[in-house]
Amino acid sequence: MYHYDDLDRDVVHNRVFQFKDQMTRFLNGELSEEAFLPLRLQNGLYVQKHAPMLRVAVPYGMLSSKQVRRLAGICHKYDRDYCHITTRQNVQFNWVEFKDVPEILADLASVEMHAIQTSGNCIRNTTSDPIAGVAVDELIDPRPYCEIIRQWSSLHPEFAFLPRKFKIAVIGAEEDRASIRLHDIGIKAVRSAAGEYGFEIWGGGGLGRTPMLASLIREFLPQKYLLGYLKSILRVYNQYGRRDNKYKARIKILVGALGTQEFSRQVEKEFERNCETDPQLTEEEFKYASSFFTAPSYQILPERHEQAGPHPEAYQNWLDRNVKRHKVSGYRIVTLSLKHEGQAPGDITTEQLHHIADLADRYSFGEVRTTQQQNIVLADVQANDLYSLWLDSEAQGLVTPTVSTLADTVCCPGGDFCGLANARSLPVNEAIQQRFSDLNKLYALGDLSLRISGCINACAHHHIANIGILGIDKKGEEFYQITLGGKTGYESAIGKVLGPSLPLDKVAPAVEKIIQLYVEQRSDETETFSSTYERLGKAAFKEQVYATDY
Amino acid sequence: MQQIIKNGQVVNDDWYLISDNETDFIPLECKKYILPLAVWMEFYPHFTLFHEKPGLLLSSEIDLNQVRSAITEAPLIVIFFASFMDGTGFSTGSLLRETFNFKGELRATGEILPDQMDYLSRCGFDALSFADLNALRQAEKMIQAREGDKAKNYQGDVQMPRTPFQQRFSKV
Ligand code: SF4
Repeated sequence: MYHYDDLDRDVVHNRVFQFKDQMTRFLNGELSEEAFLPLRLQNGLYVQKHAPMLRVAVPYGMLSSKQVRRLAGICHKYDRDYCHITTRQNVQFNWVEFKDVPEILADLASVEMHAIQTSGNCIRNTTSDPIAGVAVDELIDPRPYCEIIRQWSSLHPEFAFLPRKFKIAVIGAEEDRASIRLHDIGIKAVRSAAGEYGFEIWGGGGLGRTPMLASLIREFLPQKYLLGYLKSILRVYNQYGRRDNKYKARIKILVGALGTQEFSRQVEKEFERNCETDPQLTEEEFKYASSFFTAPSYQILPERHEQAGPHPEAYQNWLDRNVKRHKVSGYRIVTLSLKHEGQAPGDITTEQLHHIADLADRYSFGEVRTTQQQNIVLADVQANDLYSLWLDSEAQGLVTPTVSTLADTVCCPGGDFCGLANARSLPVNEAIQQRFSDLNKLYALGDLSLRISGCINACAHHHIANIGILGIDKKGEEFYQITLGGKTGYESAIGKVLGPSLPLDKVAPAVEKIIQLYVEQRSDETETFSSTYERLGKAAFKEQVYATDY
Repeated sequence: MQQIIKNGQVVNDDWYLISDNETDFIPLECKKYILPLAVWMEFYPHFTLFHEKPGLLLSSEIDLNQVRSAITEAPLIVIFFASFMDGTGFSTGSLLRETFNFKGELRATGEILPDQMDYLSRCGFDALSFADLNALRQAEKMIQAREGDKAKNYQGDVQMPRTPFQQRFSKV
C-alpha cells in the first residue's frame, strides 16, 4: 500500500496544525461559526444529533494493521468503543468531543491518516474496487491512479469551495464494485485496441434527491492526460455549477441541464487548451505510483489445499458466502462481515478492530480493506488458513455468513444518530432481518441487495438496491418509501418508487410480500430478483404490497 | 489609506474602488481608480481623462471570453467574491493567469477569509483586499506565523505547474 514520504507528512502535519489554530480561533470567538463551518467540514468534522462526528478518510479503502490498531485506540480513548464503516469506505466516529479533534487528527497523522476533505463542498475521498489488485476479473490495478488522484485533489487550491460535494471513483475490472456511475466522475482504467493504457471517463452521476447515472463523456483518455482532464471537468463545474440551490448544485444537474454532449464539448474545449501546456503524468510517475501496489510475496501453492475436515455446517456456509476466488492460485479473498445480528450494519468495536488487525498480520500480509458494502475484506488469505481464520473470528462476531444476501444490508446511521435524518433506519433493518433469520430461507433467495437510507441524502445508496428503503418525514411521523429494481455491478440501474410510503410497522411485512412474489414467480432458482422484477413489472409488485392491507 | 496584502506583505493601497452605482463618476486628476466593468467600458479604449489607466473590477462568475480586450488592457484586475463559500473566483483567477496570460496585478476582494489566503495566491492572486480590518490583521498574523516556512503542497498550481509525484520519484 502507499507509504508517506516527507512531502505527505508535511502536508498532513501542516493541515493538523492549521486546523488546531482554526479550532482555537473558533473557540475564542475570533472565527465566526459561519466561517468555521466550511473549514471544519473540509476536515471531516460534522455537528450531529448528539455529538460532533468525525469522518476519517480511508483512501480507496486500504488500511494497514497498524492503522486499524490506531483506529481502535481512538475508539477507546475518544469515542464509545466503536466506530462505523461508511458506504464510501471511510470511518466515522460518532461520539467525539469537539476539543479532542485536533489531538485525534494528530494521532491519525502519526499513522499516515487524515480527515481531509471527507465532507464539505470539495473533492471527497477517492473510492475504488475493494478487491483491487486481487480480483479475478481485473484488467488493470486502479490503486496507483487512485493515489495520484488522492494527492492531486487533496487541498487543491482551485477546487476547495465547489458548488457542492464532488466524488470520484476508479475501477479497473469487469465488474463495477465501486458503482462508478453513481459518482460525479467515474473512471474505468482500460487498454485501447493498440495496447495503450487509458481511461473511460463517466460524468454526472449521483444519488440524493435527483438520482442519476453518470454518462460516458470520454471513451478513451490516454493515461498521461488524467489530471488535465479532471481539472477541465472540475473547472467547468466550478464555473457553471449552480450555487443558488443546494439541491441543484451537484454536477449531475449541470450535465442534465446542458446535455451530455454540450457538457462534454465544454470540457473538451478546456482540455484542448491545457492538454499540451499543463504538465502531464509521465511513465516514470506511473511506475513510481504503481511500485506501492506490487503483489505481496505470495507462496506458490496449489489452487485447492483446504484444511482437512470434517467442518461444521456454519463453516461451509461461510465458505460459500464470504470467501471469493483470488487471482493467485491457493489464495482467497475473505469478507469479514459487519452484519452481525444486533449490531448496526457497518459498526465495528474496539475489540473487533484489534482482532481484525491481528488477523491481518497473521493471515493477510498486514493489510485490510473497507468496503462500500460496509464490511471488511482480508484480500490475501491462504486457502489452508481459512478454517483457522474462521475459528479465530467466530467469537468476535465477524463470520456472519450472509455476504451479498438480503441480510448484508447497507444502512446509514439514520435518525438514531444523524442530525439530517427524517426517520430511523436501524429499527427498519432489524424488523426485516427478524423475518429472514432462517439461513436456509435467506440462501434460497440468492444474491439480493437491501439498502436503507434515513433521508434523501441517500448515504446508503438505496436507489441502487434491488430493494431500497428511504425514510421520510410526514408531519413529524416516520414513514418509508420503497424503491425496487435498482442494481449495480455489471449493470447499473436506479430503482423506482413502488407506491405510497408506509409507516414503520408496515415496512417489514411489505418487504416480505415483495420477496414472496419473487420466490413464487421466478422462472427458476437462478433467476435474480432484478430479472424477475423486470419481467413482471412494477405493477405486479405494487399490487402484491398494496392490494390487500393498505 | 486602506491596506491590502500584496505578495505576502501588508502595504498601503492607493487605488480607489468605484462602485457600480456611482453613475456620474468623473475621475480626479492624480488618483488611481478601479472601475466596475460597465464604467470601465464607458471610457474604453482611450482613458484620456485618467492619470493612470484604471483597474478593472469583475464579478467572480464573469465569462472571461466576453471581456478579452479589457483583460489585455487592464493593468490591474480585481475579482469580487460574493461569499467565501462561492469558489468560482478561484477558477476565474487561475484562468486569467493560465489561459488569458494576464500579467498585471490580480486582486481578490469581497467576502474572502484569511484562511483562504494560500489557495488564492496559488490560483494567481498576488493581492488580497479584505472586507474588514480584523481579517487583515488575522491574515498578517498568519503570514508572520509561518515566516520562512515554505508551504508544502501535493499538486502544482498557477505559479508552479507540476504533477504530484514530480521531483519525488526520482529521489527514490
Ligand atoms: S442518508 Fe440521511 S439520515 Fe442517513 S446518514 Fe445520510 S444524511 Fe444521515
